Amino acid sequence: MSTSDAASRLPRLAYVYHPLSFAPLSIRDAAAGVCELVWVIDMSDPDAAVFRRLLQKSGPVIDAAGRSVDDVASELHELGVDGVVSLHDADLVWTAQLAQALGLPFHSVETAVKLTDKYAQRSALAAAGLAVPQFRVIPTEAGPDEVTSIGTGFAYPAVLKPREGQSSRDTLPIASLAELESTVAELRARPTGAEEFILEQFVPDPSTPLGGEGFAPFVSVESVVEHGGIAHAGISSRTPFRWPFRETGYCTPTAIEPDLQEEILRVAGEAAAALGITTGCLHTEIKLTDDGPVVIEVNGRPGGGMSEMLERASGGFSILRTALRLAVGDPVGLRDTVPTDRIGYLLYVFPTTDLEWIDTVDGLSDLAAVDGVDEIVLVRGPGQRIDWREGSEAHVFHLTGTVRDFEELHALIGLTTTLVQIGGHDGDEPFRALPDPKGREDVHDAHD
Amino acid sequence: MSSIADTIRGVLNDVARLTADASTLSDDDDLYQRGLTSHGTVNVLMGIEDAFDIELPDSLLRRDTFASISALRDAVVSCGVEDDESAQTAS
Repeated sequence: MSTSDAASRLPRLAYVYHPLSFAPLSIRDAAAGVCELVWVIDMSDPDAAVFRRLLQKSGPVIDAAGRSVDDVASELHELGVDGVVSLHDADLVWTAQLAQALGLPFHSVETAVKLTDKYAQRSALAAAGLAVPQFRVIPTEAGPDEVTSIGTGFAYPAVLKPREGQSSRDTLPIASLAELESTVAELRARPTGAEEFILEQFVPDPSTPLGGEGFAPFVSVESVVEHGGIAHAGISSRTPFRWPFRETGYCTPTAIEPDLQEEILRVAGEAAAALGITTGCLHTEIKLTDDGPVVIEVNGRPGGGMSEMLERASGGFSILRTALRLAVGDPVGLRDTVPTDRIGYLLYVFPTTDLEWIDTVDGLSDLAAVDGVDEIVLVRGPGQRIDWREGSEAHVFHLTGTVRDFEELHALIGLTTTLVQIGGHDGDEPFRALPDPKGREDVHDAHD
Repeated sequence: MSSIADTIRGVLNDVARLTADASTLSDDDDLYQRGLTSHGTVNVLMGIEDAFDIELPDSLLRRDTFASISALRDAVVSCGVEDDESAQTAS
């Protein structure tokens, strides 16, 4: 490529794509006017491969399946990429290696490990002097005796979670050593149970509603790190969790008192520094306690759903777009939290009581007609199984939009159960087969 | 000869994994409220392009295009596909 060619085009970004992260069309829209996209995907993953044809519409697609990092880097170098990014936790370390091979800025490999391995992250936070709950690792190969040994002398109540996991999947409360032993045995008996777990001391709830009336004592912070300097785009509140630790929704801005907001942002900045983060967008989850904010987790990418939520609330600021700009060296210059004129929200709706199968979902159209509701997506519909162990991803539907104030938001949350009725049952089998598109007259569908 | 909407319903039934039979949906029903996912959207995109032998332009690759059968029909028509009016009237 000639120098004049390079000067006349947008910077070229290698985007390591994963189907469980941002949607291709959102990425394409965010890249408009910022960069040209070169997609890097693992075509051996059927879930990723299905997207190839769509991805090709907005840039060349590089198949990384079975190839070394250096080999992929060599091909990307030939294409003249100016930046590299991944916004999916499981791909951060590989992408860090790719960036290192290309000599391009991204999380260092060491930092990427700390961003994806809960044990490494907590160790780094503790070493930097941040408040960190007691934690221990339960190795994949740990038998019952070793589990007992690990759990002995631990400060219960505790939380057991996969060492590498997200969306509160298999995140379980543990009240005692005996419960730890039985829970690990149960998890190990499952086909997917061969993984490492981390046992973490439960961070106690505050004695007053620090998160604001009607909200959980839990927030997340969206941060932008540029050339080693950190700025925070916003704080999101959480609606009360559903047992055991399932997230039920977010909103931004937050109802938290300004002084506490300052404290939250300070702690988020300290956590980012402790992990050695010098570039990129972060999503930091923080629990509010009587002793101050406690970092639960730092994620090396924007929070799922946060970008659209903040974009709606602010009338245009996109964290996803910001992440792409950072990756290609386009100066962002964020100095303060992003001003908002509405409250953006994302709400997950579950059955009133947990069910194993969904039979009916009635009233979505009525809810969609409510002022402030922009979008409703049915995730688990009639005939589909829903398992609380999957975490917050296993919800029936979610809705997004903006409202004027918190009173309107709480009223809307109420409408999700009064306007919409979710029916279902427990058992081994659905009462009916999964939807048969070739004619199922006996099936009660989701018509309102 | 089937109408564009009929063909779209066939594509939806084949690849979209909706929670309802597409033949029971009205043209304006919200497909996302019927279980259309991002995965499903990609499948619908490919199914539509194959069924009508077209390529949807970049400007139509947005969420709204896949929100309903009528929106998909508009997208197909904008690519130069002519509807079978008699079939459409009959439907």
